[in-house]
Amino acid sequence: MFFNLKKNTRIRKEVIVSISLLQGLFIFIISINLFLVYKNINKIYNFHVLSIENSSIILFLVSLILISTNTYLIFIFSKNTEDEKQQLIENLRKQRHDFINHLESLSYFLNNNETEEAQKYLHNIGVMITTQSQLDKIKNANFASVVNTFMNKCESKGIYFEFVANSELNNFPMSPVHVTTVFSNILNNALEHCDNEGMICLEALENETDYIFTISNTGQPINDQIDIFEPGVSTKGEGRGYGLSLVKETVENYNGEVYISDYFPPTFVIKVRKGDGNEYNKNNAC
Amino acid sequence: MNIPFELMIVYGFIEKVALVLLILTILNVANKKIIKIFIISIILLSLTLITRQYYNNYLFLIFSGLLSTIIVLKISYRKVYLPNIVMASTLSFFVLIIFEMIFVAIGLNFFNNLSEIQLWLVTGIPHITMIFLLTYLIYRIRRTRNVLQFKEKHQN
Repeated sequence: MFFNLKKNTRIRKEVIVSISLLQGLFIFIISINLFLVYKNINKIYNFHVLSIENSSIILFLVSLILISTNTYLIFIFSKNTEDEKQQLIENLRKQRHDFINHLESLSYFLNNNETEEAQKYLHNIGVMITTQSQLDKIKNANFASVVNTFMNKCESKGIYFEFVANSELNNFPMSPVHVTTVFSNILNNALEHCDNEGMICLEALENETDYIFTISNTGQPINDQIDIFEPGVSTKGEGRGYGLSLVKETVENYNGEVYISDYFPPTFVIKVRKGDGNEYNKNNAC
Repeated sequence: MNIPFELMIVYGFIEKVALVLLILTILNVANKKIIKIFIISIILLSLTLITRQYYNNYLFLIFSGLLSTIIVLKISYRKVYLPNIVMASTLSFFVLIIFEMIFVAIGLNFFNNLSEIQLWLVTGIPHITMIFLLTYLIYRIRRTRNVLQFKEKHQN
């Protein structure tokens, strides 16, 4: 499909308006067809015209098809909107429940005069809320889902994850499959590399020509004597080391580059060139 | 009546340019390269002429024209959404047909003694002029509105 019907309300409305307009045009052309027959204008324009009986049959059939399509679309759209509303209410409920739990924990720390712990806890909550609100701005659904899954993984392992973005990734050129390949690999590597109670930071920035992603963690320094982008080269033992080479290969397919900007703290940079929006189609083979 | 092929090409080409310009103005497409509009118009004209040669039915001709316009524009301007192109093309075809029919009806009433080719031209030229005028009008209204909005934003 050329557009995502489920996500964009404006496009949904435009689809319905387009179909209604097509219906209108069709009825109008049939009327003109009858007018041409009645006035004999078809001879001037050298047109063949339909007889009144055929016009009526075609008008009936096409109207039936278009009205059914329109009704079906309205039904699907209203159902999707209802689902989205339910999801939103569910999320709000979860957040409220979570908020009460956080308040209880804070109250416990303050009652026991553990102000340092309380401060640390507040900072963590702040990071979590900022990350979530930054993630809500992202328009690329696939990137958002990868980051969201990763955030939950970090939470369950007790690792702090911070996400900062100045871009909505509106026309991000990568295909959904490649977004998952690149970011899942590089983020999971950071997670494996990170100690307990460590921190992983992901920045998504955008300038005039490129999308720039910086992934850093508080793990051990990277060994600068080996090229970890080579297939099969890994610090994690035998049979490993294919993730980063795959990331490099995929990013380079989009005229991008991936490199280590710092060995300690380990920091990876992925640069993807902004394109004319056709890269997705060119690389959409998988 | 057999309309000369050369006349159909010249007339049809100007009509297609007017139509494409109107669609692009409704779509508010910023990149309006003249060469691109010319190429699109030539493609659309060729498709229409081929259709006319093989199946010269009014209903079929209009719908195949609409369909080919949508497809060619979608290929030429990939970043524009398909529903927008469908809307703009349908509206433009509405305008085209309405003007055409109005002028044909007027022409038939007032120019009884003209030959069919002369009548074809007499009714065709005003409707193309009206489409160009409408395009210019939409462009001016949109530009004035943008200027006013810009001024309002910066005054506040």
